[in-house]
Amino acid sequence: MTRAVGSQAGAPLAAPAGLAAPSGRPGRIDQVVPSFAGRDAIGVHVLHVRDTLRAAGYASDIWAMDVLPDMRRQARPLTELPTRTMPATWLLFHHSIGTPVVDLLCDRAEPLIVDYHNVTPAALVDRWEPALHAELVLGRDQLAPLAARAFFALADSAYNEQELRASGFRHTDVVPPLFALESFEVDVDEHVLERLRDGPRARQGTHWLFVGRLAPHKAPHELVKALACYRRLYDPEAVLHLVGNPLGTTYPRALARYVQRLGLADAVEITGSIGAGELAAYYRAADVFVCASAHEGFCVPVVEAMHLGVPVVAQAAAAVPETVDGGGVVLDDRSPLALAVAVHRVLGDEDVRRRLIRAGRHRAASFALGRSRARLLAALERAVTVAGGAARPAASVGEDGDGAPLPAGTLGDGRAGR
Amino acid sequence: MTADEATNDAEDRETRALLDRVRREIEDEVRARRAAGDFPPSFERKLDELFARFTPTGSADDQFTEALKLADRSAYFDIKAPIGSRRTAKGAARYVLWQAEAWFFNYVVTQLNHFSASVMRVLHLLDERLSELEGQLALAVPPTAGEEVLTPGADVAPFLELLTGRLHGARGRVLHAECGDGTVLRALGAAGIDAYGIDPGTVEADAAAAAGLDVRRDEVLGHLGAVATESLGGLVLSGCIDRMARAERRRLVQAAELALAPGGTIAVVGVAPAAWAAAAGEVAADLAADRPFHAATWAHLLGATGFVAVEVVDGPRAVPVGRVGPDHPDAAVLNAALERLEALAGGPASYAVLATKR
Repeated sequence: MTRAVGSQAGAPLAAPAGLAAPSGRPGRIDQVVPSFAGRDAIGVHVLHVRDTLRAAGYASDIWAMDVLPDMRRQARPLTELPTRTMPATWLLFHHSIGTPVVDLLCDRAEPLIVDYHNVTPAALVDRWEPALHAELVLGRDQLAPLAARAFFALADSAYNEQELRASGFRHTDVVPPLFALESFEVDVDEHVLERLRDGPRARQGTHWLFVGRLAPHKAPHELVKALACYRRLYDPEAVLHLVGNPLGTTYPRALARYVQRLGLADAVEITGSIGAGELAAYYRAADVFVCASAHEGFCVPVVEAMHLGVPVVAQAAAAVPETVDGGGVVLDDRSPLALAVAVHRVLGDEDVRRRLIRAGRHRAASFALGRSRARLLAALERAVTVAGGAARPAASVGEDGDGAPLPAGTLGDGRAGR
Repeated sequence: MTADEATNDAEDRETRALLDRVRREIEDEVRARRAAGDFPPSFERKLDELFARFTPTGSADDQFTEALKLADRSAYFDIKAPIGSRRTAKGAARYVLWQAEAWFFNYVVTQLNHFSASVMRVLHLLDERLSELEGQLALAVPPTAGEEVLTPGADVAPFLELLTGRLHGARGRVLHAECGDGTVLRALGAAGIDAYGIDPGTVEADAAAAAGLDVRRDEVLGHLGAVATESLGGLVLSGCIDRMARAERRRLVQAAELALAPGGTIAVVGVAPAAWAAAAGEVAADLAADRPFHAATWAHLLGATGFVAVEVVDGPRAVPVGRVGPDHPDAAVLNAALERLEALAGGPASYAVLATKR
């Protein structure tokens, strides 16, 4: 069943995995992603990686099993991937969930790099979404064959890298997801902002914001509990905005019923998916960004909040502490009361709030696209070294500061850009 | 280092110091609010319990039944895919047809996957239950009617100072299981330690909860399995640990290791087997299914599970013998003899085994 993709009739696959060891620099680095959507964090990252590779002189394309309509011009169907081994080509595979694409890659001979975005622990979602549970278990199981097949791996965070190491990957490096901080600065939807803040029906209380999937492992129900504590102790008018796509139907329905039963229907807004202008309005209206996720491999919205000047209060779990890293308050205590007290402490002291915002902006700047691109190219230099090619000092690669374009041909000569 | 870098570095250090201070203040306020009673622990407990009612599998006890219900609901394959579409352009007809076909198969396969995953979940639960039963059947020796030994658990009072000293500054909440009348919780609270307790439901525990202590009706293995990984700052175990089956005690240590934050302290307060046997009587003790462990056994289990700095602290003697006053001419000789006699008559009645999560 898992060999269907790419195994075209009459065209034998290339040599089995492991027979072709990488040697030297590739002329082309193609990315392979199971599902490609322009609006999710991995989709944005994949596009930036492609642009970075092309700017550095590599030929680079994106191959995807499922391509969402908005990305049809950016990616090619995986079914069109040549059955013969592509010469002087490396494949960069983005792993975040169980997929038959792994079987396909294990049957090919091109040198493989894995970019690991983490697989949500199945135990966090199994009772809510049994079908997703199976995909997550498969995703974890596939780390072992990928470790045997790939000669190098990238991780969004040190937390993810630790999991790679535990799964048997020997050569790894941390490269944060690529995104442009400037892309967060879009025109605010004034109608939404007015509704939230300035209009006659605007709520006067503290505005809490969380952006992320409405999913059990993101634990918005813990935020609802904390809001209930906060309203009881400090501000009966406080409201919570939960912005993001729902995962399935079981959890969002349970959350809505929970909110209803607590009598917080007027205080908790569940928006679903919204446009960029609306999202900007929510960030502008927010007093604090709160996060109680039980699992995050990185957490881009935290960076978005820090960049946009919204103080961050988060509970420690997985890669959240390392993403925030001094740019916000991270709590070891995961009780709702602790979160409520922390929000009050941050918002109740103007000096703390102001310095936290400044620290958040400083931390967010460390994820500027230019820096992340440089880290990616430096990691690829390491991969070249591992592959046995002529390496150059990593410091000379892509150190172009924030957002500056990378010079073409940074990584070598004779490779045609696209 | 340039002047700008030096300024940034200094600012970064200053911010981190501020964050540390704010975090400490937050922890202090959380403790103070819990201790003052202006934020009743029952409120947080009710929030948890209410959400548990909306989860698909309800409480832990209902998991099997609810998982079966979920499988039942998923075991229906809808052959009519909801394919309503507004696209009517003729030029796109073939493309739409192709898309619809692919979408339809994906739709069916998704349902099949959902069903099979549900069935697998049920099988896993069955497997867990069977494994647990097998373990208990293999280990349990049924007591003879009328000879069952009731183990009341060790008296925690002699260890209160030790526990408060070792758990002071814990990073995260401290759990006491089973907490009984809340003696340990009161002592920890008085020392400024944020603690809560669980108990399967005794009159004493209900009274403690009614008195304002954060006491939840729960059993220790289920509770430790439900708390977030590495979320507890400390863990005190007493009572239940003297009655558990051996396999359960192994699982308990593993669950505790998962639940404790790095650097967290575990304290096992148990009844000394000799004191227990003396109280139970020879026949009842021999026929008892589960008996208290020696302190050394707990120390071994904790060490084997990865805990470090394992330490055993003896409690008071089971049979205290008086001493001759210093004014007696042979006091030294007599007291040495009495001490020897005391050692022969019985060792400590209880013990505490302490260890640290690496």
